[in-house]
Amino acid sequence: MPGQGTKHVITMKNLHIAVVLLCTSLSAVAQTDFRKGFIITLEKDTVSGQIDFHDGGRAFSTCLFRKADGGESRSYAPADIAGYGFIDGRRFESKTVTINSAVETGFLEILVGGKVTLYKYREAFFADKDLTDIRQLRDERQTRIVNGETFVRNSNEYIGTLTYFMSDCPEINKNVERTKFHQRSLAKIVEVYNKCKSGTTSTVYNSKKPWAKAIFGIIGGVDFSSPTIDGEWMLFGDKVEALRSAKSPLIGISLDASSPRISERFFFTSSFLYAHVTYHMGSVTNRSYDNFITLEFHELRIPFGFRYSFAPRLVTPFLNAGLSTTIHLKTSSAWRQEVVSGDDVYLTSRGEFPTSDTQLGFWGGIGILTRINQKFDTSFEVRYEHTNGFAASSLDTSLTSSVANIQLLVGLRIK
Amino acid sequence: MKPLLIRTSFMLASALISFSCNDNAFPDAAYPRMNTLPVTNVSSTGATFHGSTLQNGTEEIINRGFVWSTKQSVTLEDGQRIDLGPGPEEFDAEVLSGLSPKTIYYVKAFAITKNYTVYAPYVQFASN
Repeated sequence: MPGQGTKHVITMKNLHIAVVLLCTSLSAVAQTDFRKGFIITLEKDTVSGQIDFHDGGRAFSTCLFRKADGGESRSYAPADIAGYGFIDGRRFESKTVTINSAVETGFLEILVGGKVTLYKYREAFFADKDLTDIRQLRDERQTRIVNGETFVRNSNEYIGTLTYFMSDCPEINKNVERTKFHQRSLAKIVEVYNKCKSGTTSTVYNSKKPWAKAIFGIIGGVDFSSPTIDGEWMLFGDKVEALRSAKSPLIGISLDASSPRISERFFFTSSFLYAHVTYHMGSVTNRSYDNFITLEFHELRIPFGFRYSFAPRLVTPFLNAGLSTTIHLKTSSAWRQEVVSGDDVYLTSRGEFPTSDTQLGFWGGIGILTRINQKFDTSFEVRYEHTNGFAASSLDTSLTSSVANIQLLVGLRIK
Repeated sequence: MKPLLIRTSFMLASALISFSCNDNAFPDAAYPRMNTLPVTNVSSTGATFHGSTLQNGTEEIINRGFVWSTKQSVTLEDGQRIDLGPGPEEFDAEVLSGLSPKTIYYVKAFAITKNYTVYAPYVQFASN
């Protein structure tokens, strides 16, 4: 079948080009993200301009500032300036702190300002009362061995620190005790305390960004799937592979959830994809006794994981990865064995092939996101997924299997 | 970036519409692969057999038909047979007499090419 082979090669070539183009665009656009902001000099002067936005650790160590579009940018270390901030956004202050017994100077992000100020520095939180007594909020995991048994508990030291700082507002004591060790809960209690102390002001920075945001969409595409089955078949060792990759359409819904207040670049991402896949598989070992299996699955695929989106542009690249589960909604199969004996060919039926109800796997992908208008954006993505396959062992077979999927996906998201 | 988007869209669209028509369940071979379908119209002396070609081989089919007996391993040498000659991919044959009442039979579709005789998996049935 030379015609079919050529067609297959062309499709794989297109796929290869798509991956290369996506990688190229990803590296080309993974650049700076200057936004309106300001720096505060050591002399306490405010200089307006633009600052390169970073979601991760670089925001705590470096400030890349320029006065205007296209202007020369300059990098500031925490020792060079008193702080920096974004208009209606995040605010950073240069401070020297003791973090896990080590002294560091960095840009601390001010989450809530007031009589008590809450800071974030990398993964650590700090609280400062009246800007005179900055302390790290700690919650370390502690392991204890009692009567030979190991217990793990959290130190909850931060509750003590907050209780000490907020003891002059006894009506919120119970709230303090219930405070969890995460940004939202800590910010809430500091805000409540600052309001409790009437006469003091409380400023919540970056407050225009919501704590939680969900983006729904529809997603569709094409899946190229290649399964492998290996193991013992009625005492005959054999390996069975797809005669060709199964191509099937995918359609479903997608969900991207994020906390813009904490990060504008990280998303939890998931989708529900329906696929109707038919596999034609055959022996790859060169024997006179061959297995041929045709399997038809109606599948619900549920990939879930995390997405990192690069700096927003006309075309914004993203990376994502995670785990996946595939639920077999309906399965049918035909398992045949073929023996060639001289001039005679005997085909025998082995009935249904033993299949599992689900598959588990991991996946990763790269893609680009582009805005259509204020309400919609669209995505193009290439994904690779590897699952533990669909073969179930039975009385006379001990089988292992795997499935490799390459997916080309197009999404339409409602913002 | 616009050319990139257009090219990417074009490639995705071409991938979506490039579903291969190749639905072969077996690798290419000289001989065909046959299937025996469930038997219908079973009486005490006769029945209707059904067969189909799952996949043609490179050799032309000279003859096809059904072979049956009370043994699962029935072949053209030891079973009763009915020859239909070359014909369509779906084929059937009505046997009006020759079966014994209340007997379990095994029937196979077969095909003969220049170099091969191909037997399909058997289908079991019991006469009335």
